[in-house]
Amino acid sequence: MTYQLYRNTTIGSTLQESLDELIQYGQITPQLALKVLLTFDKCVNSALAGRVRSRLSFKAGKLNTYRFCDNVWTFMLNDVEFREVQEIAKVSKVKVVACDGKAVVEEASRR
Amino acid sequence: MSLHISLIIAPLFLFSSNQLKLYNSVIEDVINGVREAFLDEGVDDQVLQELKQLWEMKLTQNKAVEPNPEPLDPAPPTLGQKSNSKSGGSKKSQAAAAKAAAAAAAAAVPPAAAAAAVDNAADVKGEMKSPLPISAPLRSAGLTASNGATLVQSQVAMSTVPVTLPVVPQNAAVSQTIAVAQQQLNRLQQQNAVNQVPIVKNQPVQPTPQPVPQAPQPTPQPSTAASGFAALAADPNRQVPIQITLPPQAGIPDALPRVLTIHVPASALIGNQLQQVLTGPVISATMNLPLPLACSLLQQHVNAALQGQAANAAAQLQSSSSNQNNGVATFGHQNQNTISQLDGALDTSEDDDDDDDDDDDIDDFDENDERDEDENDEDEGGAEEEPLNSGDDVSDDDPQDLFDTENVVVCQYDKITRTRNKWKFYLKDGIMNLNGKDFVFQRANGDAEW
Repeated sequence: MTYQLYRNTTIGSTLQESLDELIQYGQITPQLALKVLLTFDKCVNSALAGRVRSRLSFKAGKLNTYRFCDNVWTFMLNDVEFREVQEIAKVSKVKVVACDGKAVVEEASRR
Repeated sequence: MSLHISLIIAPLFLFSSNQLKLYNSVIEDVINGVREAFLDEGVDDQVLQELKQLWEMKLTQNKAVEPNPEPLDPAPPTLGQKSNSKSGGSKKSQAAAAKAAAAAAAAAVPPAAAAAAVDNAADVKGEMKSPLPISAPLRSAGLTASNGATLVQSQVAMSTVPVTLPVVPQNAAVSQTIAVAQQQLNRLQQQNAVNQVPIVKNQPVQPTPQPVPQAPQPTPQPSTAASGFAALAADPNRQVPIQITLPPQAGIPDALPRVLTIHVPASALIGNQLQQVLTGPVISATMNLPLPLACSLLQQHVNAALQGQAANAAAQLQSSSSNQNNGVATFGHQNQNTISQLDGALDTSEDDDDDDDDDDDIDDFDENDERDEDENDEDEGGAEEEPLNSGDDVSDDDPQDLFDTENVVVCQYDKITRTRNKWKFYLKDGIMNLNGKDFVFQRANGDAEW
């Protein structure tokens, strides 16, 4: 089970734009583009799980809104400070979309 | 994209280098992973390479993925490097190519390679920081200078003759001329903008109506170029074809310069936006693509970029047009024809008449129409009523832009806990876009109060 939600990131959307162009010029079929996207889902999920080592913490001034639907959490946080050791990023508003991380593990352990 | 305070997140560059490495590895994985699928469908490997190039180019264009400035980081080959090595190989390479490479190099590649590019582009060094001088206002200015303002105006009005003046930045001299012309143009635009203000101020003071020049030319502006812009401003949404001539590809003998044609709204010419849109990396990446693909790529890039600026431009245009209207209103009876219609096209006066009739009917047959009127009222009330459930959310913000924000974290959750109004988040495997920059994390724990 791999999530498709990473398609909605910079790297995912740029891939989709590229695929759209190639489809538009008849160089690939939509089916092939879909295969590429599915491959991307797999690659980005495993890359994030296996190759990223950064840990950070964040503190939000306010949880503006929360929503839990179809096992997906969506939060709107205000005045958030992200911190990785010494490095800090502040944003006044951020949307967090989170899929169930345990579902993936269970799925994997079931196999 | 609006200007954010990126300084705040500048210290996070260290972990943004992770993200660049990660992205490149994902690209490699995907490309390798789908090679077989491409073969199965009988699609040429060249197409796969094109996909990779497109993807990498779009990523490097994206502000979210600022290339890592650290020279120690062994950055995988990028488009910038490719064109750079080409221009580095042949000393005969065009200054433009070198410039494009230098621009890309300055952004993306190790200093040594960048230095080589600088050597090549030594004569255009002064301009290295400025974007490639391929910009549409320039071209229309060139036309204006040689042919006169009226010609430009009529051309723009008819929109049949493309505003073209191929710019081939083949050597430093040309690009310098271009740069100078560009500066003059900018000045003219500023003059034009400045000159519009006093007009509005002066008019109430003048007691006697004076013949006012046609609306698009609110000032006795001596500059022909500026009036050309005014003509463009008259219809900012008109699509104007622009030709861009790419220099022959370096390294390929007998290559011809290629001409790309893209369409941009006239408003883009006024705001000088093309210059910001068509930057070095874009051009250098386009140079390596086949012609139709390059065309569509540029077009798409320009469209996407202009959409981002559209709000900005619209605001500008509105303010300028309202300025004009202020001026015109003073002499309203003289210039009724020139008042631009702002409330949509094809609005005939008949509609107004109908409305009046309705009103009259209601007045005349008040009792008969009472029921209808009530229904109308209900309809109106229903239309203005907020959608159901909207009152349930206790929220200060406009619900529409509540979930509409540029800062997004896409991730998975291990655990979300809440005690009273205190929430704790245990997140993992995330990609964040904060203030227009991307970051990745393995784990992120946080808390907030609701």
